[in-house]
Amino acid sequence: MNGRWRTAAALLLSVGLAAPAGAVGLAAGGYGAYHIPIVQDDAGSGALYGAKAKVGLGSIFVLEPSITWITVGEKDHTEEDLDLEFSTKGGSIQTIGLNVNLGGFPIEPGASLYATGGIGSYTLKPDASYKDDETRVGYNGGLGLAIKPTPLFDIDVSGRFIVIPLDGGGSRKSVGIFAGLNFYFGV
Amino acid sequence: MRNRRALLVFPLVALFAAGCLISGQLILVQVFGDGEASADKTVHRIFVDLKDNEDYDEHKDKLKSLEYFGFFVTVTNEGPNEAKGEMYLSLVDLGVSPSIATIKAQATPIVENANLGTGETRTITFEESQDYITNLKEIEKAVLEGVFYLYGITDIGTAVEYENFIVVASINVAL
Repeated sequence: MNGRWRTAAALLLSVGLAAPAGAVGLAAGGYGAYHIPIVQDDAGSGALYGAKAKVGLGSIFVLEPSITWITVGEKDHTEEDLDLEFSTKGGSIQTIGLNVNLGGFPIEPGASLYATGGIGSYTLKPDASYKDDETRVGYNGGLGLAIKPTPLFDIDVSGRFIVIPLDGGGSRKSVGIFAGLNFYFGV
Repeated sequence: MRNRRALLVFPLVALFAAGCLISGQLILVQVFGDGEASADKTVHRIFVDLKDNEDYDEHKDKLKSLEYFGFFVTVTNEGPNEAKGEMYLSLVDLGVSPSIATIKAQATPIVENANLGTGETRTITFEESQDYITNLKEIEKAVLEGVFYLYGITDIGTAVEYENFIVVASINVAL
């Protein structure tokens, strides 16, 4: 088990142990999919993957801690006037976050649409030796759908808009498409 | 009905709380030509005025920080030995042919260890230039200022010909 997965497992276990007294259930799982930068001339699309827990609180509210690794792809540029082609390198982003969901924790088999908003620590790791890693507070929000074919697990798909404010002004914005499985405990 | 409204408003509130939705990263490309060499070609000055760039000029009041910096240049090592190309940045003009000691004392190194083989002519691409860049924060100050001077030298003071210097910069822009 490498360091990343140990960190993710520890995070999810700690959330499970710290689940509030009013919790109606706990689910945990993994996801993967795609990250698409928006209005970023120097960043390309890439894969993302991660792990999260879902702590159901009552009939609507769900706490969702997560850890995610995002690949920022290279971006190709062409300057036709200058007969010039080049690529900016990209890098990666590691996030640890906490979202609050409205819905998305179906107790019985079925489907549940949900809205989500959250805050997290986003560590930007550019693939350039002259740039240091930078950890910033970022925000995300979006919509998702949890489909629970059996009491044991759900299939969770969501789209989330991500904003990472940068030091000195400006921000990096992107859309993350997430798809994964969550296994339910004690429901 | 109230729950449905909350479902739609909730994610938007979180995003607008960031207060910086209208922003992005802009790539600037500007050609600065061959520059000017000292008589013995051991020092090469390139005057960079980014205000000549349409995109830079259009967004000059919204530029926040520098993300990436690099360049294209074709270089010929005219000296008898292999050398390491270096480039220094100065916000003030040190003249066309200052001494190498003056450059090192008064300017900031921003390019280091670019291999120049004996008699070799080659083009350093933007991608390759990424391996040689240093002191990004000093470059950022200069890029946000818009006007600065670059001095190309080598570690052993050999003669070098520079051609077709092109700057590439990725800048954070926000309203």
